[in-house]
Amino acid sequence: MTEPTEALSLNEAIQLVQRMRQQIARVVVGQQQVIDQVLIAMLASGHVLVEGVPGLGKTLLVKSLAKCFQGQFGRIQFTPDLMPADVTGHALYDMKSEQFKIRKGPAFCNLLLADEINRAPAKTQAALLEVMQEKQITIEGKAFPAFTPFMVLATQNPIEQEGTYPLPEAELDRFMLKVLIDYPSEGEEQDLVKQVTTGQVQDTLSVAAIESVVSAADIPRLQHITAHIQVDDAVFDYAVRIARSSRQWHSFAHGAGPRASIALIRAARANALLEGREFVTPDDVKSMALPVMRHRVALTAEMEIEGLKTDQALQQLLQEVEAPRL
Amino acid sequence: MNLSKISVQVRPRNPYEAIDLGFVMARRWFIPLVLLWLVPALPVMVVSYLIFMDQPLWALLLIWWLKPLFESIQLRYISEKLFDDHVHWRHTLRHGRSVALHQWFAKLITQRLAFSRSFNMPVGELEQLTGKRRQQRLDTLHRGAGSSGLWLTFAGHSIESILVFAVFSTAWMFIPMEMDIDFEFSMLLSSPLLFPTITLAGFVAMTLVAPFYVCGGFMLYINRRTWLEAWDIELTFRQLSSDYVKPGKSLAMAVLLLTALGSLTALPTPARAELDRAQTQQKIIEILEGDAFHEIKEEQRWRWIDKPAAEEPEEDGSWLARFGKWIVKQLEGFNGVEDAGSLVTWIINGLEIVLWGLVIAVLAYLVYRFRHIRAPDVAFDNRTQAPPPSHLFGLELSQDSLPDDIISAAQTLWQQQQFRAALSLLYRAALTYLVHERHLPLNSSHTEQECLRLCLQHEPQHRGEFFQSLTQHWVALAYAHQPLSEQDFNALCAAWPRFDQQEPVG
Repeated sequence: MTEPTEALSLNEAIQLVQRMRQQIARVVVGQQQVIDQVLIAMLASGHVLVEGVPGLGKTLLVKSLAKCFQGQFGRIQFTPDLMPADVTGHALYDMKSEQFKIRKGPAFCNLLLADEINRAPAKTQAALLEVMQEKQITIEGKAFPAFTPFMVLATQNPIEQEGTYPLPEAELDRFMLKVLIDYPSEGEEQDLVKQVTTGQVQDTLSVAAIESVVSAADIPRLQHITAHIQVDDAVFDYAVRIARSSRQWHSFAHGAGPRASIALIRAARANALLEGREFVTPDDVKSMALPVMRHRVALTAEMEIEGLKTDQALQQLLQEVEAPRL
Repeated sequence: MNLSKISVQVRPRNPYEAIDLGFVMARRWFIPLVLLWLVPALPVMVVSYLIFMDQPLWALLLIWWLKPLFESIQLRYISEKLFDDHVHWRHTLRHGRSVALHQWFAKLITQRLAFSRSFNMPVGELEQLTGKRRQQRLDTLHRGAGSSGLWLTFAGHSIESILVFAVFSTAWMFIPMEMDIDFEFSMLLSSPLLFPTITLAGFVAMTLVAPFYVCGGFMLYINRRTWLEAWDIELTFRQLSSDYVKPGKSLAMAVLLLTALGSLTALPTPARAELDRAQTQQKIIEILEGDAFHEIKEEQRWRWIDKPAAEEPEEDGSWLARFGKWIVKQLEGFNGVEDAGSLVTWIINGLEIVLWGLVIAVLAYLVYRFRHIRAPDVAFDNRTQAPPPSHLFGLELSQDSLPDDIISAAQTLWQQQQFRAALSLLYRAALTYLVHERHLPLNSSHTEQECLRLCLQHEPQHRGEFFQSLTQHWVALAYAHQPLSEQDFNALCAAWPRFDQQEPVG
């Protein structure tokens, strides 16, 4: 990542992040945890896999995030016949100038919403995952750098699994966090309905209410500050122990790899910044353990038959891993 | 026994599901279980084989008879393994002798032919009950799952026999058709030349079936206890208690945790209601007189009407007489047919062995009953009480590791410029106090903020405030490396005595 020219101070960064959080919460009602986790992934320059039933405001969340830092927003609805070129772009022969012209695809943006990523075949998924990992887009052998900041929010639908192509473990590992988005509470849903139906013709929430509080150029600076949040050795040790113990835990067929430890620390740093602290505590690591690890472990067949959920198994694991002391 | 460390998902199951889970366990720990069987049984097999060189089937019978001894070692292993994944089979084997010989007389004589032996085994082996109490306990356990235990035994025996037959069928199938040997399958089994092979095949079959039989019975037993003692509910409570204990419930939770951590060897509470006879009678009458028993419903459906049964032939003599007649009839029926003679001989030999076994068992039982011989109870005196709850909280904060006067020790450290050590001492002392004196359900996986949250929920305000400020300073020093001012440190030291007080203020 290029070094930002004009560094922000830590306090400015904390304020900026808080303002972004408030702006998004004005439109996205009742999903505070999801908003926080998406912001954390952005600050830690990671990508997010969102799982939830349709109609819970995933698109709205991405749009509002894009709006609040004046970023460009792209959206791809993944279908079984989607081709890699539909994601990255393609070269088109122009009859007039007798030349090939590059048509850039929807991946050229700051925030990309990959809707129902598991509906497209592996080839197309791989094209997107390459963009995520390499931060560059190759069209007809020519490499273009991806936008900065670049973040992918891929969604998955937990129901209607027929005819889907589930992401392989290695590709799931590329996502920093897996965020579960659930139905809002009763009070929140009432607010939501009021907000959507009062004085509006269409039945979607508008992001017009959001003010742009930072510019796209500020995001790399915020990411830079996040990467410099102080982490004590005991906290490093704690994160590594959590990831390692998942490999021997009886409920898991396979545990999380070293990428999980890395993602745990990066997410914990971003969480500390979001909470206005200049250092990471074990609580940051623990609160990030579920979103970071839940897509990197696989339950054993016996536990799955027993109806144990991955989150429950991870909770049990966290209860057994000793927190750093003294 | 720490229920939260149990390596299976605890929930009430149907008995056959429980047996299935037992089989999964047997598959997972198959090698150690087979080794635990082979190490004691193989020498016995070799010795008995040498003794009964001419009659190898006797060696097989002996091993079959001694099976409960070897199986009890396997049972001990899985019962330990279920709650602690780090147990090694060699460790179990070291105590194998005392485990196998514990209640040996009962295992070999009085309980040897029990129909649901593997289901009954944990009661004697793990709960170490004998006599009347054992019988009561078995009655309670059998009420829901007795028949499954019986079928498990039946299936185990069948599979053993099938394995033995399988060895011979395989050999028989390999004889080429062209060889034109006049050779029947029954001859293969009844030829004395092949008795050694039958013995070995039988031994291998027992070795392979034993882990599944023992694990199936054990899980049946665990499942029955899950039903009776509601282990699943208890586990859920413990889960809740670690997350959302409400203020004022901590004592109840501590009691709950204590009961949950009772040893497996400790006696479970009887699953019977504590009402006296008269009250029960009264209650039954009330219920019987209630509306539920006075609803009148009319139902119409088709029913098959049996034809009147033919008159039963006259019964003569007891079942024993009839059995004898049947045997004689069989023998007479076969006497004339020369070809099947060997099969009949084989069946008769088998019957002879079983009958002799019964005679020995009855004689031994009579000796046991009338000469008042007490079976030597090897492990009975070693019965241990449930471990004290000191290990309840995994926190390695023993009170011995702290100095008597914490404040002066901390101040000395501070003056020696060891700021981190000084604050760490205070924090550790505060945690120790909360765990040991205030019985806060803290464990080693709780982070600083979780400890603080629990303290604020359960403790009076002044104590919570002090702990909050101590935690803030500690977190800032430990993770942000921000030094603490002397003023703050002195304020903490000055506030310490109020925190340490036994009686809550206000």
